[in-house]
Amino acid sequence: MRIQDTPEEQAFRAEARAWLEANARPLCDADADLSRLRGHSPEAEAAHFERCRAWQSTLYQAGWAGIPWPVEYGGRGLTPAHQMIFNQEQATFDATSGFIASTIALVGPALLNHGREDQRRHYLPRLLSAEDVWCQLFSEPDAGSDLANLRTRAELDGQDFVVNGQKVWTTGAQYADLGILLVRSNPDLPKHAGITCLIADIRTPGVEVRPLVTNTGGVHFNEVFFRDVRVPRDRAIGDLDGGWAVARTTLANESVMIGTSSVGTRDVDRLAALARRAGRADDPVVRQQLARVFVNERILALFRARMEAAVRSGRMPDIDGSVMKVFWAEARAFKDQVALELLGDDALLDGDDAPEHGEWQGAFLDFPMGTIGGGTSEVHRNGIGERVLQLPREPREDRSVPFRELKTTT
Amino acid sequence: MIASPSEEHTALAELVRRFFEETSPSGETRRLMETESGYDEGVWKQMAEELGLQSVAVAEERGGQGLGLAEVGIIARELGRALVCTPYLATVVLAGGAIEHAADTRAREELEGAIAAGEILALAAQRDLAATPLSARASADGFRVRGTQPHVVDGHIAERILVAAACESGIGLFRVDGAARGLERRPLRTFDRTRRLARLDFDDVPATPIGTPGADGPALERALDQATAILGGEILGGMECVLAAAADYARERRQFGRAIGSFQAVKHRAADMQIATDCALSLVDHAIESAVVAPDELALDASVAKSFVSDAFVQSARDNIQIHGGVGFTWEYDTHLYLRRARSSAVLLGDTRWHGERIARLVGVSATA
Repeated sequence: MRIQDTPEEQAFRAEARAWLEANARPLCDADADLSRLRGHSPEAEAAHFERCRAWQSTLYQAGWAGIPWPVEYGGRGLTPAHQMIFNQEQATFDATSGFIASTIALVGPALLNHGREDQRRHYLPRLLSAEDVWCQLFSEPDAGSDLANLRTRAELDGQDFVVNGQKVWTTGAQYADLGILLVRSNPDLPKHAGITCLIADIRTPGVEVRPLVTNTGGVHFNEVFFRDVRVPRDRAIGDLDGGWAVARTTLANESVMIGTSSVGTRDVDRLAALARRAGRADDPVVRQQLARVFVNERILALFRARMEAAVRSGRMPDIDGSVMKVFWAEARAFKDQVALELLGDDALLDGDDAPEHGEWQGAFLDFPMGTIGGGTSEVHRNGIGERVLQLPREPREDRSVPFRELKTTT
Repeated sequence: MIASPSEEHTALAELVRRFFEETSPSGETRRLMETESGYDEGVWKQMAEELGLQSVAVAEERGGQGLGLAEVGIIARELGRALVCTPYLATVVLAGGAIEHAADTRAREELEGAIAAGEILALAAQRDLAATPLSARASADGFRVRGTQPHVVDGHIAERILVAAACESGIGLFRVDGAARGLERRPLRTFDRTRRLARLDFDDVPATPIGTPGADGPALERALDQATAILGGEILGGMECVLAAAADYARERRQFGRAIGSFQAVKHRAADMQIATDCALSLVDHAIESAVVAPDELALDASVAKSFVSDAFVQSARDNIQIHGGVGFTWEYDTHLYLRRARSSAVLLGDTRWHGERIARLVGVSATA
């Protein structure tokens, strides 16, 4: 699928490109590129985060942040198509807002669709400028795939909610000022009905952020504990006990965002270089595997194009976000496995003793970022079956019973 | 084209779909499977004369509709969906493509006029052109072709056969009369009874060059890539059909007091079919688009599409049977007809391995940088 710019879009693309050329270096995919996170140490992650934050602030100052958002909320007042064009151009430069771009895509729609006018005017410009850094406080130890099973309790006390409980898998909480927080506000209602969405101040007494070390040794995620944390009642996004609608808005954006991420170098070129180094570029099995890597990469590019074509013409996308997300996760895991095979005996090593500082070993271990993060592939397959193919849901009792009577809450 | 179609394309697809729903229901496919010719003459005539399906890509001045490959792709998708027994692929896609790219103006005019009028043609060629088992040599009274092409789609019913044969300096495209002396045509028992093949033995058969003997290789290469992209459209239609059948059955069939589609094991298999179908749609749409607007990219894009859809259709056809359970492997259900078609489509015009190797070569996987 080939998408053509209109003359107006062409001019916008040229303007974006000219600005990027004046303000960033082209990507050269060497060790010199700063926009790629290398290594998983807390220091590396923190330095990477600060670069992302600085870049987002630069974008905001120059008027390139929140391109489709209304001007009164700090945006540029254009369309999603313009944002896509800017992202495409930006992807060829050594510049990224990384995780901050993700929080903007998650928090923005929640506030735009469900927030009050005063909330939008206050929070959205600060979100775009990275003056406030946000995180998403959704998952809990007992509320992963079954997110609506969340138990972090919020009880009204005068004009405040008092929050107690634990969140987990919170990306970037160690850098965050604010969090979009789902709480159980009314356990007497069925599980999906008694949830409220709050804006929580992470730097307030009673909030504790602990790094969660994943299997690579990295500290991408955190656990966040709330002990008698007071959140003013007017910090709710949307209605009291109406938080599930806000969560759905956020989650719908999340799977599309994950499935559409990662543009840039051709993976097949990187793997072909590994094959050459290993003297296996003529191996027919390897050649079939690399062909498949190329095909998968092409499929993802075409999925993005289908999404983009829909956005640009203002219609509903003809491809489901979960389809993109599940395929992306599997393609990524396949590519990383092939790469590791091509390392041969060097796959036994790690860190600086391994080729490319162990990047492939890290990627191999990190596959759950695709197949679990942002909703497991299983949950997304349920979504495909139910939304796209209209298959019946599994019978369940937990939709009508008051939350406190569910067996799982004892 | 196929993804985000125009109003005209949607209207064409609906028209063609309705036509084949009426003229090629399952019972009709099963009747034609048992006939000697393997197609319905009346329907073929209707396709040519009433709908003009054979001539969508033929120029208006030669009796066609002056549309293009995108429209051929849309028609192929509906043929695949309804499992139509028809010489359309042989005549329009394979022979028609060879004529479009390799025939000289006079031959093109004459043969495209014949296609538009409903003549059946076949193409005796193979995906690996350089290895063609047919040879042509010039004699005092014109060219003669020798050799055996063992699997020619609809070769038993073609009125004329286009032949890709090795000449002294390379490949040439020739025209041979279906009733020519020295040509022996043997209809074969095919695994996919909805797609017929014949073995053609050429024993010094008189042949008329219609291109530039010895220099037709690149043009035929392009024609085969184009045909591969269109075959992708036919495969896509088949995949969409088995996916819809599986989802319908999973919604209706009840076991353990529930529709089986509510069980995750079934739901997830169906979801994988949906994912594969979305992949196929994207790749096929792109390959056909390349054939129309970016011929330099066609070789790679056709191989990328075919390398994926070959195996994906087979897997979807098997998944459809699995979801149907016991009835899925009875003769009565059409599920096995699609599995057979999937296998025949997987092999035709290059299988996953052949195209995979070609992709590796085209994207630069080589021992030297």
